[in-house]
Amino acid sequence: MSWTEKVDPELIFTKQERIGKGSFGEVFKGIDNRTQQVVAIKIIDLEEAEDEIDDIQQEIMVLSQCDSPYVTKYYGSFLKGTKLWIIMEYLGGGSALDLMKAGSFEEMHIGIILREVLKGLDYLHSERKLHRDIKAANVLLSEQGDVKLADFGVAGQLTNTTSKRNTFVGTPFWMAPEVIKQSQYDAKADIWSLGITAIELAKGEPPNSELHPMRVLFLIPKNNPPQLTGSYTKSFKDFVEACLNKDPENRPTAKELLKYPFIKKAKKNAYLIDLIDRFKKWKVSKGDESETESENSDSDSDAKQGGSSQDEPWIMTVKGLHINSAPRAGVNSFQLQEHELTMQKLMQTTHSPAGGGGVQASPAANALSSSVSAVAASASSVSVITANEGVSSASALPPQNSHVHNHNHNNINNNNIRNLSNKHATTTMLNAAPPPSSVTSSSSASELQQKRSSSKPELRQSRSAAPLDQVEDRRASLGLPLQSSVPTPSTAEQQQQRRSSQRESFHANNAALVASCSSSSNNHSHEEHVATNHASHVKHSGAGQRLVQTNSACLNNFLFPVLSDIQRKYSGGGSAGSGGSGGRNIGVGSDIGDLKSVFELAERSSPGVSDLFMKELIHMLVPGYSETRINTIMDRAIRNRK
Amino acid sequence: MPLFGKSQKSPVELVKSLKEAINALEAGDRKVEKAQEDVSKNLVSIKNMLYGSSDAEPPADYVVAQLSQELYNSNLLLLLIQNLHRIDFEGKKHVALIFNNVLRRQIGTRSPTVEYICTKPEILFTLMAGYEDAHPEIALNSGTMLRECARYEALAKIMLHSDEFFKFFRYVEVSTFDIASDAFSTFKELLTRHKLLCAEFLDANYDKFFSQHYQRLLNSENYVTRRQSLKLLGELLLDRHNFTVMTRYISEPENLKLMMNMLKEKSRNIQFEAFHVFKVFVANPNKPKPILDILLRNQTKLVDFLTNFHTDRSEDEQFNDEKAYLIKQIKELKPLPEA
Repeated sequence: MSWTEKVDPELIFTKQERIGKGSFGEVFKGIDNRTQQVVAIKIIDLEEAEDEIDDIQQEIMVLSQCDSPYVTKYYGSFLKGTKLWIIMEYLGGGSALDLMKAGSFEEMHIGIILREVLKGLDYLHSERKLHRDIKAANVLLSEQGDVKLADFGVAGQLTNTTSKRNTFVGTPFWMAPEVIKQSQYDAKADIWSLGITAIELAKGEPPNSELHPMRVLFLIPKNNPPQLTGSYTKSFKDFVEACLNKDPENRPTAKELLKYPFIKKAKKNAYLIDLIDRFKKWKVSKGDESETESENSDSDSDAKQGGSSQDEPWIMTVKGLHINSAPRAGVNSFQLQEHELTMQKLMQTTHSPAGGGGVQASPAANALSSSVSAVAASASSVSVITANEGVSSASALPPQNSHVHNHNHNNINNNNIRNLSNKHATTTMLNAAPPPSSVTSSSSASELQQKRSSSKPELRQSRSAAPLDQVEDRRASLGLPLQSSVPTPSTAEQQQQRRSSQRESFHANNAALVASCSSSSNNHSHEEHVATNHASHVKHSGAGQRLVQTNSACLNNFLFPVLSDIQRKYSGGGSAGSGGSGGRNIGVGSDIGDLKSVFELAERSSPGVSDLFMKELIHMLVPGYSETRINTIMDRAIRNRK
Repeated sequence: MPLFGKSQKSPVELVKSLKEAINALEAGDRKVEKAQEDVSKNLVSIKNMLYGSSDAEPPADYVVAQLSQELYNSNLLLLLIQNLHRIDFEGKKHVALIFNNVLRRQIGTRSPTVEYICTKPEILFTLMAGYEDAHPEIALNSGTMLRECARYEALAKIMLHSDEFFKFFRYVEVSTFDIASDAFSTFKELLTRHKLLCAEFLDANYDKFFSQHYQRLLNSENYVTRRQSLKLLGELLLDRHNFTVMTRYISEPENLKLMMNMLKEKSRNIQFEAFHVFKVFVANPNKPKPILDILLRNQTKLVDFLTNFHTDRSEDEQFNDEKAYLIKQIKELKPLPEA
């Protein structure tokens, strides 16, 4: 490496247009001002990165140890503030995925690309390194047609004592069955991904790309391996079949695959220049891509800070500075013991999040939101989505870590965009069946304990996601069929009675609600203290103030916001649709308004009923949870909504 | 070697040949290119002898034993490390692979190579110097070997108690991210791998380690150094083996002031790491008066500050429990009764 002095990377390199996104950050074209060499600059904001710095260092460690014409070259990395600049070899031809945008590949081109990727894999595997994210997007071409592997964001180095690495990363469509089932990764998993990439290069997409990524994870281990179908030579089909053997022991190595007829007869790299030229012309005809827009300056994080608590300095002056380590006379033995116990507890704790317990609470809390939405949807005559009957708990998926969560989130967004532009979007979404939920093993919980950042992506995603996105996301994760805890006929019946405006029916309905709530109360001998306070408060207000707003935090902070979000979504669609669909949407919004009135009326008639309703909902979703756990989840859900 | 058919150079011959090539490389005369090629070729042969290759059979135990013994006899390990900067890119990696393999060798409960290196500590000191600016291209290879050495307590002890160890406080701050990070990995391994050894070292070198050196890391201009050293500090203090060191650290008001200021850093990640050190000061049932005074003077501010501290970490149950505990403790602080 030639950049060793303490340097400001912005003085050494001129950053030009953005050329893409890697797994950790954005990538720019750049110039080394000293040598005029063109380089690729990957910039990661370590403050925003969802992975620990150690994981980013891992990528760089792997890159810096690679010296092969089939792997993108690493030149160095420099820190400026919280921004890490990683200087890489620039490859002007683009990625194989880019080139496919301009048109499909001939088999001859595919053979060349696969051979070069195999050479890269052979090099990596001989170095006891894995790539773990082989796909067309990570295959780069130079302008001379040379092919190189790139983006080792999830690469790992096998130690000599551990030949298999237990982890669950990659991109679902390209993931090997043994990785999905057992989180068992070794060099053979890269070969499976290569086979999927071969199909991707031939067809333009990996197999099952029309399905939800979570469903694909469920199907890959279960189904027969994908095949290359269509008018391709037998040697190409044989090659793909060899790569996609479900038993990793029977999959050839990269070195062995290099001897396959399909690979041996592949032509020189220079033939790929045709693809590169075609892509350039296509880009010109398409006009400037948004990806090539230059960024003028990095945003300053100073603006994010504020608040008097932050700005006001601490009081640091100390009078009569002398050290007195004697115990305080005023502390009694009980208090001292309590402190000692707490000290021990603190000493034994790690910096990690709560681990399994904390993570498990999240799906339930989100499922709560999903269920409330489902109830609303049911009231609005929208059919409830259910899981496939064939799915059983015995087919539970292996545990996920933050990488998978991140990938899934991105894929979900992509699928949503794709579906919205499709005429059959609604049908596709309704027909998509969620897989069963993941089962967290003890080893996975231990892993979560050690990896504090695993909770960060969930937090970030859940904050920004809209409720319906949450519904889809959590439904996929949980793999649970959504149950309507309020029967549809009963709800419809209530609405009919209310619309009739008959005085007698209203009173009868009210009495029924009271009776039902009383029955529910009897089943919960330990009513929550907060609920009791609510009841007491309402009683004190007197019978004359029947119109006072309810004090239920559950109703005001959770149920109403969720229902309002749904109402807004359905009302928004009305203006865009035709007269008929507009009317239907308006009706849906109106129905949700009625549902809100029902909740409010019930809470006013029987204070605390919203809390009971929510607890029953959680209990149905997660029967194994204790009452304390359910209360915690409820408090968290309500707090999150504020 | 195909040229020799099935016959292979013996371990003795290989080591002899490699040593001659290294000496020629070091001499740097007209035949340096030839020496370079010979070094590479012999390194590959030795590596294949130890690891096997796709062509050859796996190595026999006696071959490994012979090879190791010859490496000791010829002093070749030190020669390889001293000339690492003269060896080519792939050759450097082969040296690390060979070194680490030989190091892991065991006969019963004995580790012969570990014992050998204990008699040649210069090997360790030369590896540690691999992070120096003079030859940045060998830093990562040296680091790989150092971390393998750190797994053995006898070798870790030699490294910890050497003057060279304190140079790591400079290595971890260099602006080349990959070298600084690698150095930090080795630094952390030495301080956390062997608990009792580390505790004794920190206790015996408290002033030099914490006041003279670690404080500078925590105030570094380098964001990564600041963040990673703060995280490591939290781990060191909360390790039960380091109870004596922890007690001393949380009795010093300068340390508390630093943590309170770091709670207000711009970086949320650094704020979070600072919290896990700050909590130990508050949880200490035997607070010295200066510590108590600082907390009391900021009592109201601290309660308000912590109440609004990282409220978006709603899923982190342990963090929120600890935060609630700290708020409670701070609210209940009372001055010491006057003597």
